[in-house]
Amino acid sequence: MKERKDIYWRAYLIYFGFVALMLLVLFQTLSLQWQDVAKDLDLTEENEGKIPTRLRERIPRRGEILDANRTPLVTSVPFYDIHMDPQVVEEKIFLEEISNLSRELAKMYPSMSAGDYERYIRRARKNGKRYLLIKKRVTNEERRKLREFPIYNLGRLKGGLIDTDETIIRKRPQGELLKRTLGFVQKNADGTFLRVGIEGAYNDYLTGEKGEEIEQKISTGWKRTGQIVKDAVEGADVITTIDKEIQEVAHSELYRQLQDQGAKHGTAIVMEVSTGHVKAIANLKRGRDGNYYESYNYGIGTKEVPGSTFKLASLMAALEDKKIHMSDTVGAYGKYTFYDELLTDSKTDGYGRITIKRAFELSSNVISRVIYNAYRNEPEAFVKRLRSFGLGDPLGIDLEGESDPTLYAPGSTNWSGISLPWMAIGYEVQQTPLQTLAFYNAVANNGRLVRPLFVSEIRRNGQIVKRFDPVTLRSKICSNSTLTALQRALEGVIESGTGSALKSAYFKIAGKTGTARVLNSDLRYGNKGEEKHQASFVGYFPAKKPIYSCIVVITAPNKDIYGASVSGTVFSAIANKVYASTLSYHKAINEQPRLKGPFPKSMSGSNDDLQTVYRNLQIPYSKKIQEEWVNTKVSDKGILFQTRNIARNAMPNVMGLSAKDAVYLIEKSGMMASIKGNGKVVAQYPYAGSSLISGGIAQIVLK
Amino acid sequence: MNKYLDYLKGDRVIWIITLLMLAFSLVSVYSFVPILVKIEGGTPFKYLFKHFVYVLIGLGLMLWVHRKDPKYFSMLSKLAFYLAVGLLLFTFFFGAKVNGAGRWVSIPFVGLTFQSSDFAKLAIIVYLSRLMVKKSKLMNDWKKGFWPIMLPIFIICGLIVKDNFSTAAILFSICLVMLFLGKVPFGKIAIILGSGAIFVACLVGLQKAVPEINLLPRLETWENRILNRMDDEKNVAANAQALNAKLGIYNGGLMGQGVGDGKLKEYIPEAYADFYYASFVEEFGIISAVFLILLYLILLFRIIKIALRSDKLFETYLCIGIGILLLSQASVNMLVCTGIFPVTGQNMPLLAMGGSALIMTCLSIGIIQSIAYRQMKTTNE
Repeated sequence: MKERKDIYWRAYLIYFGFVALMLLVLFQTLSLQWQDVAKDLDLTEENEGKIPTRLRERIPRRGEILDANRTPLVTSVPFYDIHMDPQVVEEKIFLEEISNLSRELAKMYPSMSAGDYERYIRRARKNGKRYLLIKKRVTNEERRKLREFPIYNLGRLKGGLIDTDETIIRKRPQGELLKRTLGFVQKNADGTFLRVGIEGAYNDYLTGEKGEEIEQKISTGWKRTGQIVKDAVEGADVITTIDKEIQEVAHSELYRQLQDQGAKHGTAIVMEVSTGHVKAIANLKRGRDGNYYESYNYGIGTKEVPGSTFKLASLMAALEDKKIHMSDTVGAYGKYTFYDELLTDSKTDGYGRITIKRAFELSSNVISRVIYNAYRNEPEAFVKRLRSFGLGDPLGIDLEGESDPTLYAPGSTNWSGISLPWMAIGYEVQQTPLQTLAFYNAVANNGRLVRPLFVSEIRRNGQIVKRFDPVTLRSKICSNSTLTALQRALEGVIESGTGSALKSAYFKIAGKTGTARVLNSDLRYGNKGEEKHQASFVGYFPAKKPIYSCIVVITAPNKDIYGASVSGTVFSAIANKVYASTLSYHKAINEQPRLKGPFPKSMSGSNDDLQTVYRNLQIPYSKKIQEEWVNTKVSDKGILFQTRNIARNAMPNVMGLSAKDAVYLIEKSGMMASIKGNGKVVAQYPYAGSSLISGGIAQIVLK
Repeated sequence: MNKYLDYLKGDRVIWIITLLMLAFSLVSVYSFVPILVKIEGGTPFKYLFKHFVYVLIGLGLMLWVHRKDPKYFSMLSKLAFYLAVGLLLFTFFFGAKVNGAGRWVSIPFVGLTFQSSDFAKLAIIVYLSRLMVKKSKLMNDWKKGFWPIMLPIFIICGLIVKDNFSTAAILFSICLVMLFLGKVPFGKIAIILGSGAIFVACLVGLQKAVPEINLLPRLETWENRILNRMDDEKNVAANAQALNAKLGIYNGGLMGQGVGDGKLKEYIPEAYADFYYASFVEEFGIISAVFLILLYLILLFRIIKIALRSDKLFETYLCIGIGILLLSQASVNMLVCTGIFPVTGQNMPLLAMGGSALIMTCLSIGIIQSIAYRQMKTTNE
């Protein structure tokens, strides 16, 4: 009995031992509630709730910039920095697979050999490194391949592949094309942003809105919880009015001409007449290395004296004020003196007595005399009229950096006695190329002045967020009769005036040349031989039903100074290519399908191919046969397809086939073909069905 | 219905607690596995299903065993002991590795893994119970009584210690408690312990001096766990598991976050097993934890009652041995989670996910019930 008693107290001692242990657990469980456990983990970050959390910004993808046909012009591409934690890989796997992994790495990134990779990773493993750089900036595709590699295919926890360090890089798939107009956003040192071009103007749309997500502190760092406080709004895509094809033409043609001329810089802009959509805008400046780069947006940022292209505005004013008629004659004798200043024509002995229209076509400076005579007593009327054309106001485009045009008023300090005649021929006024183009565009557009647009739509996930409709700045800048007269004169420039070299056989161009002396950097025109010129050509095409207007301005050409030969060449090259590649200009030759006979001769051959041909030619054919090869027969209702027997494992029947099909069949059977003549097969040897001679020669005669 | 309930013999309270806990384990396993899903892949449902299969096997085994006469256990104990040694040796050479420890044998064709030490634990307790009865008169004799009892303990613990220090240590402690129950002389145990300590010190020293022999491959892990605990204020990141467990308990509060809403189970490795208690408190709160502790204590109380009611010394030893085994696992799990103990991998009996441990626990309870059933039969007769 003593034994039982011993066991009794021992058993209960054990029991109470466990009770004590459990009470200890309970006590500790409770006391943990009063200890700030979280504090141990997190000494720096703010302590919210029981587990430390923080808000982390979710930065959305920046939107793309696309051309009118949705070709990406600017896009965001993610790149990844690949690291490895060699410590987490199990010894056995590591030893087995490390050489395979190194081989794969060396295959993908040959800058290091497989042996080097192996030594590199082994050393890191030995030295306890946990964040070993494998490769910087790999593409998403490479990242996907890396994940299939030996060891890495075990994932992050067992394979040690760390591939989540993402960098998003803005890429221009088209290279230098349109670079300046596409622009950029840059943070200045003072915290403000430099917004250039479309990237700058539509930055808010492109950026989207940042979201917020809760992260929790865990022992190894911050971890995303998936709890999203605020959803990020994806950056919207900006769809520009630019047509990449036209832009390419404008860019390359301008580039070629600048290089030929050794010019300082140039710009070429193509605009759609009715909408003001800018289809192309190229700005090129010579760099130190002699190549040309998109480094400044001359098209919208540089105002210069327009020169002769401004004569259109002068004549428009005089016509509107009924001061002149285009058929009035003037004496263009080559020299025009106003006070002490002399103006000359490029042809020094002048053109004799000619009409004003002819003077315009020849770009004679007699126009200064015409305007001077017309407005000498009321110069303010001239300026007022010019202002009514919108020439005194900026266009108010969305992109930053448009210069205001310069248009002095009589009575101001800048106004002098020669201001009026000088202004008539495009001096003492300043315009940007885009402003000049907009004015010419208005002439092409029946007097409607529209604002040049660079962006047509903004879309987010395919849905339109904002649409930019054409903006009319002035609905009619002048009367129809004035318009018609000026349009004729512009056509005349190409037909028999200074722009006659630009004549195109396919369509008519209307436009105006311009050559202006521009100030050097020392604000002087320079001595003889050091003058700097600006050659321009502005116009629209086709002349009768204008679709595009275009301006080309080239500054400081070395070989030549005249608008027609310097800028006009670029203009006509652009116009020709745009015209040739815009299918909507051309009428289809046979828009009516040919449904009635007689039908053409038909070869036998591949069922699919023949069907495709006849479907596209809209010739009726019978299509019941399913075989790969068919015979065809011409009937008065169309082409009849008939079953054709091609022997298998024997010499094929190639009679009636084209050479292409016959050779295909013969070589497929393992023989070689020797061909004579052309047309369709009329004789074959060996005959169809005879046994094959592998590698032997089959002769076919075509007729 | 009553007919089926009648089939369940033995202690009714133990039946209720066991079934309740097994049912609850399904809920908690489903809720606690996300980390496993994250690391190993698959779906939570896959692990739930696997666990469910184990529960069914365990239940079947329990029902089958509890109708057997306890005398068979004594007879089979020697065989079980040799089987355990065999299994451990097999694991030692061919076992699969989990967290750098080779503790598992995978059972061919079924796709399940089996931790040999789970079986060995039960085997040594049954065998020890038998030995203590047999040698009760010879305890004071070194050669005839003491060594025959101690040797099996050393063999089993020695085989386990290489890969799983904590289990070996806990098992050794359990055996010591049983020896205390069986009135094995303290003096001799003290001598053994003393020399054991010297032996271990030699082993560690050897490993440190000549690392190449790889005598104790997990020495570093043990050191980390014990040392990190010593200065856990400094080494926060490295002691991630323990701190996360504490955070889980802290986060649970009085009422818990609600089932499925725990957060730390996403980060605590083995939330479903070794850190069960932390996950449990986080989701179900301290009040539920009190209930849980009460259930375990009631379970132990009933087991001791059965043990003391028995007229056979073998049954008494066996019952209490099993009771200690279950409760020691539960309390070590809780002590680890509350940060009192260094991190070791001890399962929560009946609740946690873990195939072989669950099956062995069911088997042990089956044994208790069989003893209880035999008592009912004898009192009824």
